[in-house]
Amino acid sequence: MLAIERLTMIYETKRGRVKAVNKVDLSLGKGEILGLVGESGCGKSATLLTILGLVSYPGKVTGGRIIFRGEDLLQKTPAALRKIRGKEIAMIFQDPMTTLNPVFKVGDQIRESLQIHGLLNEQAEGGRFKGRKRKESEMDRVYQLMREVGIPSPEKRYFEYPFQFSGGMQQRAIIAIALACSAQLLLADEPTTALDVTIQAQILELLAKINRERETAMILVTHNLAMAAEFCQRIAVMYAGEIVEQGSTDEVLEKPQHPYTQGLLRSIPRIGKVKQKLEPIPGTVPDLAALDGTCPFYPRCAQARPACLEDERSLEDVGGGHWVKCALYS
Amino acid sequence: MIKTPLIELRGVKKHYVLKKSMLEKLAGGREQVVKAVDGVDLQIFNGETLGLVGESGCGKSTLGRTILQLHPPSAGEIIFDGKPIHGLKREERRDFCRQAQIIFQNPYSSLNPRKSVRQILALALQARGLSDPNVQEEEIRLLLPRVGLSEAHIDRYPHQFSGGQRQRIGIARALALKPRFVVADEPVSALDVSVQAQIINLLEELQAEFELTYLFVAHDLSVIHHISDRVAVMYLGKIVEIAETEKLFNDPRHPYTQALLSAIPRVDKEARRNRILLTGTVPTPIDPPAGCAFHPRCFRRKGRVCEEQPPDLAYDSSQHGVACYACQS
Ligand SMILES: Nc1ncnc2c1ncn2[C@@H]1O[C@H](COP(=O)(O)OP(=O)(O)OP(=O)(O)O)[C@@H](O)[C@H]1O
Ligand SMILES: Nc1ncnc2c1ncn2[C@@H]1O[C@H](COP(=O)(O)OP(=O)(O)OP(=O)(O)O)[C@@H](O)[C@H]1O
Ligand code: SF4
Ligand SMILES: [Mg+2]
Ligand SMILES: [Mg+2]
Repeated sequence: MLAIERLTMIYETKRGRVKAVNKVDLSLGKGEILGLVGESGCGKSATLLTILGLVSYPGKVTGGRIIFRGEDLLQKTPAALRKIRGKEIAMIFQDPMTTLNPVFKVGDQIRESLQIHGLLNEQAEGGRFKGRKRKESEMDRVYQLMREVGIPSPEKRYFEYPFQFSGGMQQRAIIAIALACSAQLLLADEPTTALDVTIQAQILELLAKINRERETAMILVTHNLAMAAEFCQRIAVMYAGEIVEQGSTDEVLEKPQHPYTQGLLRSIPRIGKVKQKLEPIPGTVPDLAALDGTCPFYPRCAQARPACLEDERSLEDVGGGHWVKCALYS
Repeated sequence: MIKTPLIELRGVKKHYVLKKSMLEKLAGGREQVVKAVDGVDLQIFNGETLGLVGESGCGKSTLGRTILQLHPPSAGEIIFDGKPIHGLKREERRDFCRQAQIIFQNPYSSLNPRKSVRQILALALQARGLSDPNVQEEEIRLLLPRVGLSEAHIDRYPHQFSGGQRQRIGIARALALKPRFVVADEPVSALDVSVQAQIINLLEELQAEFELTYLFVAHDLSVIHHISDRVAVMYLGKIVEIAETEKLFNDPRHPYTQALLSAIPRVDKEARRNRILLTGTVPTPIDPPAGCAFHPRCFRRKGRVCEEQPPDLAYDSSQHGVACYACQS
């Protein structure tokens, strides 16, 4: 359904060229949920924005292909892309307030997104209703959607403003807006990061339900490995703009191959395991403007060897659809 | 080993009165009060780490700040090392302020951007009564390697550091005062996982070295599980459950704790439990529900009693405390 090949996107900055997305390969089947995990600044949001064609100055796509249902999105006109964004690919942004406008009623904002996508009754019912009557039937559709995402008493909540919604309820409203188009692909950027654990579980359950009932494929961006472990069938691990490991959730978490993934798993505390001292990864993430084409994890890697500094690494299949980008495997 | 409390809270409350605009005053209506901390009894033992969890806005930071006297409690008593704080003389009070320190969540905003590392630490040493520049310099040079920074960093400014390094500066500043008690308010929440482990290890090492007592606030329950000796669960201004860490995680009794722990995502498949999904909306501390504040979301409600009378925190013989009618036999 979605196949991304060697996608590269850079930001031209005063400090130099920031390689935010560096030769990224990703694929996603129909109805599949892929977790894109990595630390802050590794290019997760940038990858999603590139897929959506929402890269703006100083960002620039410099290579690769994004094949969505057989067609390369990078070859599309802006107008065609806008149409695809509305109808086939939906996005939940990292910051709720980039989606919700603080000065409009939440219900009206959901109704507007339904209108934009031409999914309101006027189409379905051949414009049977006019004026007031029509608005009422549109609002019914909004109530239905609000109920579907678990916003209680929609008849009342429709008329409230975003600030009157709790964080969890705001996130539900945003999901309702994303659902307003019946997309086959949903890109969710840290949809629960700002929320409490109990609310986070509710939102994930809601997304799982949407995935079950509508067979919506999803890319979930998160820095929380445990969340990806529970929610996603496959996981792609990103480091400094590159996908360094990719495979089924069980494979990646139980048999991590890349030294970075291994380090990450050793550095997080785990409930239910015997408590032992955490093993942090030494050092810090590199400056994305100062990459030289060698392995970006080299300075922090305990298994580094001269080969790591040689020519470019590619994603190698280590068996069973498990891919690793590391000199140890090439 | 007999555990002695370093800190004891008796019926501590912190209420904020929300200022009303002129119009609201003219329109009459009640004054709004935020019951951020609403009657907390708690002991924090010498040398332990007490983890504090609860949802956003339940009063964790307010509780920490109240203990440190960053603002006065609205009611109740705080006892430090056997002495009630509010009865302290000026000199003793200054000493308390030195011995009880805080590390903040946001390493970006908690450091003065115009001061170098040397200046930031010198100021803290000054507060400890060390004003000789040579002595200060020597202390700073001893302190930096303790938090994983080097002397090369001494003249740099906060913006020249990464988030993890800034948190180290914040820790060095707290340590400079030779504290006995440290409130760590989400000290690793803003950090990347790989760096988070460095800071957690550092806090553990420093605790062993300087015999520190921590009140550790975090929303990541895996971190809380890892670092805490005991864990207290807060809900709308009150402690609803408190126990030794393993006891709490293996045998959560309060319905809120049960829901909370069941909702933690786990990397390990065997560790996953049946999820309890709460319904109902999250109430606010402005007008908390009567009776047990959790009752509108509770799945084990016992009827009228839960709606009318707040349950007391009752301890069993293993010092496992729960405030819930459904847990009383
Ligand atoms: N407008 C911009 N101009 C220059 N650099 C940018 C811009 N936006 C992002 N970057 C850089 O691109 C890199 C990737 O950023 P991105 O937002 O994709 O990270 P992320 O993985 O989503 O991180 P987070 O988990 O913090 O959201 C970062 O190093 C960031 O500093
Ligand atoms: N200075 C203040 N004036 C009025 N209300 C306040 C003030 N400080 C905090 N509050 C309110 O008190 C309640 C408790 O806040 P507090 O910051 O202690 O929560 P918290 O548990 O630390 O939350 P978080 O996890 O989001 O940090 C909240 O409802 C908050 O809005
Ligand atoms: S006291 Fe009642 S409402 Fe509160 S948690 Fe216990 S059973 Fe639920
Ligand atoms: Mg992002
Ligand atoms: Mg707080």
